[in-house]
Amino acid sequence: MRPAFARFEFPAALDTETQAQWPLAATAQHVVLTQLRRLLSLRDAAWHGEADAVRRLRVATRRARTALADFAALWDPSQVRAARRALGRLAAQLGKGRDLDVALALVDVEIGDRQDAPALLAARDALRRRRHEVQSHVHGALRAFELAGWPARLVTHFAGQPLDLWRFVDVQELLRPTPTP
Amino acid sequence: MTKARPLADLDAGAATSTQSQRLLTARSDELLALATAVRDPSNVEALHNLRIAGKRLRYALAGFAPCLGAELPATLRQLEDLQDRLGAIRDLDVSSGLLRDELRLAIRRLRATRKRLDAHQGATEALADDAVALARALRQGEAIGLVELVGQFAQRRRTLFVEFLLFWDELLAGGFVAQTCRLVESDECVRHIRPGRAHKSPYIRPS
Repeated sequence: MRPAFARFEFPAALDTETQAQWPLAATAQHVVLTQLRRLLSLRDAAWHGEADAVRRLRVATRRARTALADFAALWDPSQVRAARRALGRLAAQLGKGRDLDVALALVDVEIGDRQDAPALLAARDALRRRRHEVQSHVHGALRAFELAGWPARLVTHFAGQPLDLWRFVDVQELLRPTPTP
Repeated sequence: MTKARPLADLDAGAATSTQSQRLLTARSDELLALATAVRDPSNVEALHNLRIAGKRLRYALAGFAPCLGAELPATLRQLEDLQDRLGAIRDLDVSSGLLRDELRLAIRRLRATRKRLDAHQGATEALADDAVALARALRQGEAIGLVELVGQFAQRRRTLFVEFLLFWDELLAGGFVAQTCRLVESDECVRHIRPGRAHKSPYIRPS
């Protein structure tokens, strides 16, 4: 059964571009949260197996993981590790779906006008059946991600640390020197 | 897949512009370290790693965009182009693996169909029905389609690799390394590319 996907507000800083003079912490949080926001907005479409949503959700997951690795030194290592693992589990199942979507698209190109080639059509049907099966793994991963509370944990943690971005209602304040946390 | 090198001692409170160089240097370093390994078409892992390193560098460049110079859009475009080419190769590598997985299962099913012939005694009607089913599966079933697709994918991959290599050579010859180094304000990353070596291909193009 599809879980109720939790919805979140994000700090105002996310509605503006990063700036060179922002503290590194704010830039890092902006990068991570931008990807998390994208990821969370795509859960429903990916649940329904929309190939493009699965692709974009996987990209957002990967970009969030990359940003967490790039800026890992700014957060508690155990939190970063746990977050990357949770995102990795989600990405792994999305990857299986995505790989089959890509394979099917490539097969469609090969088949082209050869709709009278029964062996090729049978091969495509076999892949389609596999893709259908894999969608249940995607469901499982999305459900587990949601039920473990990861959306709330990730947004809360990375909006609140190292800087409490919620405090910066006026993003110009990010340009003022901030003490190193 | 190669893990990204972690960076210690980032200063959370310092301006982004003062911290970006270390990260960008590390990521461009990881990309350029693969410059020669990717010339071998059978080195699937190196091609994949180059693609991942390109992604990491592109994401980092995009994240630090406000700190970077006028060459950023050109570099991002080149990295996107590189990734598209490597992505197309990777798609075929992964897809051909999936096709082979399906083929394994299809052949297992065929074997079971063939085994059914053994259960008959004499040249009965029932044997004929099972024989016809097996013949149809051999001629028109998924197994033969999957085999054909594996072959087509490999052929297409060969063409894409040749195109990638030409692009890669042009990229390196066209100052991509110097441009990236200027962008990240580092001359560290050039050490991986020795002039005169980078463009010699061990790959013999199919005639």
